[in-house]
Amino acid sequence: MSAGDMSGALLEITDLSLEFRGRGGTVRALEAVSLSVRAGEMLGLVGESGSGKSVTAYALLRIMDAAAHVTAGQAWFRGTDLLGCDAAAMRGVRGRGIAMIFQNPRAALNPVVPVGRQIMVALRHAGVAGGARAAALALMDRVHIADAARRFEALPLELSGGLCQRIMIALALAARPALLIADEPTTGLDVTTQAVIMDLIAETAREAGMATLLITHDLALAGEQCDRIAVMHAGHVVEIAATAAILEQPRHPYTRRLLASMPQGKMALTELRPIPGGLPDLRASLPPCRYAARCERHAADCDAGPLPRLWQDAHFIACRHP
Amino acid sequence: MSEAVARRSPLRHLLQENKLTGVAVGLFGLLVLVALLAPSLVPHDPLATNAAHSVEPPSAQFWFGTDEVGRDVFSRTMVATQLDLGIALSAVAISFAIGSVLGAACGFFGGWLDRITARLVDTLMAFPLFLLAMAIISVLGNSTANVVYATALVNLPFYIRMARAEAAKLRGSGYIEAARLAGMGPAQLLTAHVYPNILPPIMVQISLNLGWAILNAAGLSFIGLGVRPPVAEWGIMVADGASLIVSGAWWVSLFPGVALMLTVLCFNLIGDGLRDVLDPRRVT
Repeated sequence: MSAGDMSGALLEITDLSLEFRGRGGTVRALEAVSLSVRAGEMLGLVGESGSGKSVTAYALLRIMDAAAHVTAGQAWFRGTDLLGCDAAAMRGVRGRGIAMIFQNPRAALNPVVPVGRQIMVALRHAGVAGGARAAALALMDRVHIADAARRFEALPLELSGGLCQRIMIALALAARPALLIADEPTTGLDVTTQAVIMDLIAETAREAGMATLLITHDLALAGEQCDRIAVMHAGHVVEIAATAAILEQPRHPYTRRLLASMPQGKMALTELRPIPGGLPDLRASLPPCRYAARCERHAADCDAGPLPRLWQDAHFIACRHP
Repeated sequence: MSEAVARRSPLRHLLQENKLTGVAVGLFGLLVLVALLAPSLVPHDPLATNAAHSVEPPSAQFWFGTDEVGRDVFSRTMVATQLDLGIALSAVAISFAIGSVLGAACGFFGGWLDRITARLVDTLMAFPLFLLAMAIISVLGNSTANVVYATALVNLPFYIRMARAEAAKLRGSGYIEAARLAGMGPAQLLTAHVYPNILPPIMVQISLNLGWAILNAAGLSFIGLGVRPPVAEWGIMVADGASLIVSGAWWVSLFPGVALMLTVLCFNLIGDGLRDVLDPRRVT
């Protein structure tokens, strides 16, 4: 795969709608979500809890609750529609095409198998026949685990959260995927470790020419590493643009409030400006713009729909009054 | 915090946890040694009868005395170790191999395989197990191999149930999900992630089960099923001596009985020790 080809989309999601049907009603978790990840880039998918960022990722890899139903949309990844392909094709995509790392690395590692052996299993699965042990040690080196030979036989419980996340990254790298989905990879780690792990993800992705979809609620974190950022609110993608454009010239009112709510420098707690209101109840019937109830720019014509469009050919926005 | 703790070897851990377990492990080693070496070391031929020395009490020549037909009880007791241990080990090995694989698959996948297996297991467990073993041998015929099969079959439900319950607990766990996301198929998930996790509790089951299997084999022989005389086997020997106890010849039954008791006790103690070590509530 040529990392230089930045124009071609590696993953192209179009009009993905998904709902959870349960006894309490139908939750329309995603509505007409469209976004693309280009080869080699890091795209940040940002939004508050419940905005649908993780659901989008899980829908791509089809590991969803039985109550989840994709009602519309396609997700093309290297010639395969992830939402329509059969189980065998899906297994081929998982790991080799798209790998994923999780919020709680310790829970994602088998507690009774030494971590080095888990990497060996992943390598063998990826088709590394001989010398899996040496290859596993090399991977551990690559994610900067000091003293890899000694840590090889350690159980996940004997390692710190940061080390476990490094092991997870090594596991994800084992099959040389084209796309890495990192779902809140640094939540639960302390702040200094967070930065180190984010740098590591960015570094390994760059080295491997691997695209990354970084799912996070932390706009500042996404701002540090991502090439582009997509902002989600209540199951809608409201804005997608290059990181600098999002941080310096945000267009959507929600993105602006999100930026304003970030603590900066020496700020007193009272100076923080939280976004008024909460996410709307996704079970109720919603206005075309799901941010309308919280929006300070709300106008009468907003009920005609958020008018999704490209601003100056590069800045996607779904708002009538940017 | 980021330092990997140097782990103690499981065996060492087991012995340090409980002195009694250490004694039991030592005893097990001794049993294995006797089983391997006794046939070539015992002072008398275990099958040779000697009418001149019928029912003699323990003496310098016959350490454990002699039985009705003048065979040396010491030699017979020692030689029988191999047969009794062999029956128990092979029966438990069969139940473990079939039961753990089948149970793990049932618990992990569920579905029709699980439903059919669960009904079969329920049916097996509805019989009194010893009677079931007796019935199987009556049908299959009196032989050592059939004792092994019968013992393996009546133990099978316990392994299936345990493996099934343990595997079902893992179904929704994070690392299974993660492995599935890495593209692993069902067979790989079972071998790489399910099986290693269900082994520890099953090890405890194996150890406790070995004692039960020996008792089962000896019990079958005692009532005349399974291993046939004149082969030296603890159950047969206890049966041989039972009628002599009234006339005061206690040694014919006592020594094989003690050997049987010590062996069962040894396996039970090891099982208890293993349980203490492997109990998840005690893992820090």
